[in-house]
Amino acid sequence: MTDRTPSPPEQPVDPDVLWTDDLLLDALGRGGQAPADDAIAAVLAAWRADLADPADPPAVAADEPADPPAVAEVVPITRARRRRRVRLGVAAAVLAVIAGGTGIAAAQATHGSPLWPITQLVNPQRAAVLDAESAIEAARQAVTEGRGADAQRLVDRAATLISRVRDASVAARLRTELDAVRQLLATATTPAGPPGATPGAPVPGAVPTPGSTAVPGAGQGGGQPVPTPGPTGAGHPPPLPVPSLPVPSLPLPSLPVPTSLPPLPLPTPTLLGR
Amino acid sequence: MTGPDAELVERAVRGDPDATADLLELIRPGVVRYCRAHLGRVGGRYTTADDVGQEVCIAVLHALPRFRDEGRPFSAFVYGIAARKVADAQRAAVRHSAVVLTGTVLDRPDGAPGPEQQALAADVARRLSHVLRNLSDVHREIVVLRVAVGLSAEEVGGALGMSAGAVRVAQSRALAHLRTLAPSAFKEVPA
Repeated sequence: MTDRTPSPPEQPVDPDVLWTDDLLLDALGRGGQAPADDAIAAVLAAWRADLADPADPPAVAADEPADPPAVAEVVPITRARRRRRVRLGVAAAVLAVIAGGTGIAAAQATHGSPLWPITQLVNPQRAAVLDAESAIEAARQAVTEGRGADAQRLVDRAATLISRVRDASVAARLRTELDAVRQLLATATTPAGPPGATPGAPVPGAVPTPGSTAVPGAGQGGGQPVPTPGPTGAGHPPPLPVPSLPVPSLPLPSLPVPTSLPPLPLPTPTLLGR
Repeated sequence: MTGPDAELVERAVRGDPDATADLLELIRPGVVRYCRAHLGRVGGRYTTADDVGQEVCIAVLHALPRFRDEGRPFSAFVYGIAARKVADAQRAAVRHSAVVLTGTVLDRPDGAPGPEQQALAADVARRLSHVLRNLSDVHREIVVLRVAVGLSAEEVGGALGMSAGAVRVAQSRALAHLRTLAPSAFKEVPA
């Protein structure tokens, strides 16, 4: 790089000017307002605002109808490792997003979609939410299809993914959805599931009305003499008539969080880094 | 931008996916502004510049494991990559005249809010980028890094291989030069 036009002539710069210019540039760089009497500062401030302005996160404008044709032509960039192809793919996707309002497509893109890498890169938080949602959905599906082990794995995965979501209200909603799936899983696997695969995930305060089945063991256990209190006990905290079974005691499985429950607590470590 | 803290960078370099995502999220706005500042609008849009900005983010992502070897500040690392990508894009634009993108974009109505205000801001930006072309490469880069990106004089020094003091002198010269150029270019622009 060469200093082609060294105007104004190279004289020592007044230290006061150095200082005020430095402060001015600091302020402008933060996106601050220009002093009223400084025309060039006003221009620089307007420029700065314009640069930061319109589609700054380009993939989040999700208020227009999607435009499938544009998306369909996008190069699947997961395969495109080489720079040029990545460039083309990203270019096409970003272009599609901006031109066609395919923000929806990009925002809702899931793992198979050509737009997914863009979503992950441009909006990792959105990606985290979508990841979690799809894991929850997959878990629900697995439960309904009777794939208990899969469901449990997906539930665990969803819980991990939820812990990456920073928006507290969104995270809370996802947790509620996940809890519902956990319950579904608990009730679905109670009768036959092997104890190891079904920790029961008791959710305090949400009990599937076991009151009607007066005798827990007989009603739910399908005649199994279940000596381990795990499965049946977990789903039925309310201490109803116990005496029929030699079960050690009811209270124990209700509260202790099963190992499968990943730390629900909000503080994500990543927050600290910011 | 006060650069991302060292610990976050460290974790990202080690490959922690959360830290990497956070880091990218943190640098992206500055990178996008940098690319927009250098490449301007094409067909009234920053589409091309934003495209290059994404490319810079991807390149940073790929280069991240090598960051420690280079032994320089993180902002210098990022904007070194950004400078190369922008230069690539400028060369490509000269070769292909970058018309391909505009055709598609202009087919669509501009639904963006506040058209007048935006047009005015866009106009200011356009004129300023003309004016900036009259600066030396170094002065222009300093203005872009200081104002558009928001790096400190120290960070700019790290990126350009100058001392912070040299950056401060140069930035004052660049501003003085802009003040001499601006009146003709911005006569009717309201402050």
